Formats: sequence, C-alpha cells, structure tokens
Amino acid sequence: MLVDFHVEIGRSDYYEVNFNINELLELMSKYNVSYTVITPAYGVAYICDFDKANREIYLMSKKYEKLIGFATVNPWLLNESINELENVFRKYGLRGIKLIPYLQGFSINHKIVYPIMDHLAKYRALLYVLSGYHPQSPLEIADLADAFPEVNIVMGFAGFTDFWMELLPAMKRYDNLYTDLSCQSNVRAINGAVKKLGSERFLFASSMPYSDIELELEKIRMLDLNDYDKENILWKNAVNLLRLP
Amino acid sequence: MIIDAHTHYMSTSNSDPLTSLLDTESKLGVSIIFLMPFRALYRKEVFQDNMQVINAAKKYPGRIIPFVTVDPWDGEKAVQELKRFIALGAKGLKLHPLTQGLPAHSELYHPLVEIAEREGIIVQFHTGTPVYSQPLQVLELAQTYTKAIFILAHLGLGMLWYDAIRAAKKADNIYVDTAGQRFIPVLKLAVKELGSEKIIYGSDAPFLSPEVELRKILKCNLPREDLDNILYYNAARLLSITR
Repeated sequence: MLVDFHVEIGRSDYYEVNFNINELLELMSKYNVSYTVITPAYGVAYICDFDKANREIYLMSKKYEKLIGFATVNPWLLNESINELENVFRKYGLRGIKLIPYLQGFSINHKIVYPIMDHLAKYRALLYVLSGYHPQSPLEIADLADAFPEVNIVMGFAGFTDFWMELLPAMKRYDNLYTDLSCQSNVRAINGAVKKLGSERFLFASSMPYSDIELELEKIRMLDLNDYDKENILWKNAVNLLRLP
Repeated sequence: MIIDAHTHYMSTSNSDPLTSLLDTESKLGVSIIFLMPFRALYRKEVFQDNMQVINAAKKYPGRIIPFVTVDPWDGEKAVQELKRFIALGAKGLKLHPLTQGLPAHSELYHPLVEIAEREGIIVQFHTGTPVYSQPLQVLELAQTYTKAIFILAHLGLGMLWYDAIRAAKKADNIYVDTAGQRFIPVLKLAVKELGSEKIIYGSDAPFLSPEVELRKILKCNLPREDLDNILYYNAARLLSITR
C-alpha cells in the first residue's frame, strides 16, 4: 500500500505548471498509490478564491474515493474563512486544510491563525503547512503546535533544504508535529532523523508537480531503514492520520 | 559524460571521504568533479582543509577540479592565501556568505573577486539563504567585476530562485548550478528564461545525495542538447575559458 500525502492540482501561473486530475490518476495507477491528498494549486486559491478552489477539490474527491481533499482558507479574510471552514468540514466532509504562509502573508505562529486552528480542533481536522524559511520555518510551526496540542500538523517539504536544521528540535518537542519528506535531497539527514525520532511521524509525499513520484519513491528506497519503518513512512502513518479504512 | 560542478571534501562516515565520493560519482557516470572544501567554509582549519582539496586534485589530475576558499575577515592574509592556492593549482574560489558571515556584495569580498577575475578562476557563491546569500547581491559584484565568471550555487533555493534567474539573465558572467534546487518547474523555468547554456549540474555531494540530484535533472524531460549542456558542456566550456 502507498499513500501520497501531498500533490497540487490545477494551474499555477507563478511556476508555469498545470497538473491535471487525469495525469494524477494515471500516475497513481502506475505506482500503485492507494490514496493521494489533493490540494489547490499555488496561486489565488490561497488568497481570495478559496471557496471556488475548495469546491473543485471537493468534487474531485467525491468522484474518486482515493483522492483525499484538503481545502484552504485565508486567515486575513477571517469571517469568510470561518464560514468556509464550516462548509468544508460539515458539508464537504474534508479532513484537513493547507496553508502557505509565505504566499498568504502571515507568520504561521501569529494569532491571526488561531481562529482557524480552533476550527480545526473542533472538527478534529489536520493542518498541512508548507515549511521552509520564515514565515513558515519548522520552529515557527512548532510554536503553533505548542499553542494547539490537540491539532495534528503536517509540515510539507521537511524544512526545505536549509531549514532541515530546525526540523529535529521542532519535532522532538511536539508530538503533534509530523513532516513529509518531499523535496528534501539529503537522504543521509533523513536517515538520521528517523533513527532519532522513530518513523511514526514521517510521511511519503510526491509533491507533484514540484517533485516527481518516482524520484521520491527512489529516495525512500535509498533510506537505510527496516521494513517496519519504511511501511510507516509509505502508508501506515498516513492511514492513521487521515483515519483511512 | 557528466561533470558535477559542486561537491565537497567532507566526511560523512568512517570511510575515506574522497574515495567514497569518487566511487559514488563514478557509479552515476560522473567523470569530473569540482571539489570544494567544507570545514574551511566555516572559517575553520582554512589552510589544511584547502590543502586536502589541492592534494586530492594532484592525486586525480583531470578528474578533480580544485576550488578553494579563504576567510574574507582575514583581509590581506586571505589575499595572500588565495594567491598561494592559485599557484598550487586552484581553479575556482568558493564563497559562502552565510557561513562566512557577510553579505555577498560586501567589500571584504572585493579583493578576492578581483584576484579571481585577474587570474581567471571561477567564483562560485552559495545562494538562496537570506540575509547573506542573495542572488542580487552577487549580481552587484558581477556588474562590478564584469570579466569574472560567477556561479550561483543552488539556483537561489526555495525562496530566491526567481532572483537567481533574474541575476543570471541580467549578467552575461553569471551562471547557476542546480544543487539542492528541488522544484522541477523551477529548473524548467530557468532553462526557458536563461537557455540551457547558463545552467550547470551540481549535486552538493556528499552533503546532499547525488543520486537524487542527478535523477531530478533527468526528470525535467529536457531535449538532449539542453541536457548535454547542463550535465557536461557548460562546465567544460567554463573550464576551458578559465585559467
């Protein structure tokens, strides 16, 4: 079994990419992916068009059971976001949201995010947040994890190269912090981190179209880990977090 | 044939760092590496660490292209050291503003870049980690030392990739390397904006995993000519026009 914890669907003018659902379904079938978490493409969906983007994500996940939709909202538009969260969790039944603080314009640990977190706690939903530099460094995300111990937070990109250095201290202190391993080239460092913290909070993700599923799978194969740890990373942890059958 | 234009003499296990690096690179089809020091970038054991690189290149002539660094805070001493390393065969100067503790356009770097320009060696800058390693800071230098050849390592990483593309577009003497730039669309955009002639394959091995770094380039599905430029010809051309 394999669960891919992060892809973006749709067109992003910023990165000049357009990853459509048919391409994803083909790749899922080719690589035997049982479930994939789908999120809106980098762009206005995270700024002002979140209701439209969330509806599209919902419709895709409704049509294909193996697609797990994650929505987004923008904490700057608080009332609209709270209404949308009610919609996303009560009507659409989605299991989490994704934030990109760098694009959306706030520090992830700023109190502007707290009302959103209250709603995630209320609906036992997950937060997936891209990690890397300020305003989304692992220790900044850890500060949010500290304020909301009841919400599980998954960091995307594992600190993104240089901010790998903050990943271990962040995850060591807060059990509600998880990370995917996509877009992180340092296989040696991943080995070391899993050995230090255990494999239970590391997740496989392809982060297509930014990375590539074959490349990310190859990276997991390169890890010097036993089958128990590899299975945790490839699907078991994701199944638990997403409460999949 | 592949040239890896970004590697370090760096210990990651009990085995000999050089043998282990060359073995890994050979398995991947890499025949030439630009080898740089590691500890010296942190202003530690600068002389000894650079000499390991110089000696490695003597042991493997043609296969290892030695890059050195000096501590920019050492002033005149750094200048003399750099001249000495060049006399010993250094083909490139590696500068790392983040670890060396000053912005890339700092005046402390100027005398070193001036020597690199005069002596015809390549200047490779770490880029992508604010506040000290920003591509547009290197552009400042490149527009001052117009005959020096600069490589922006990491293509600006996750946050400053657009600046890296802008800098390379604005200065004929700026190239970029691909090490650690993990967004495939960014690599493709760089090829589109700059042409493949300005992009050089580098892995940052053994700090990063060269298996992943090389596979990533192949995953860009580039035309053969672009791929050959990135993996070999651009680095080879730079070597031929430098000292």
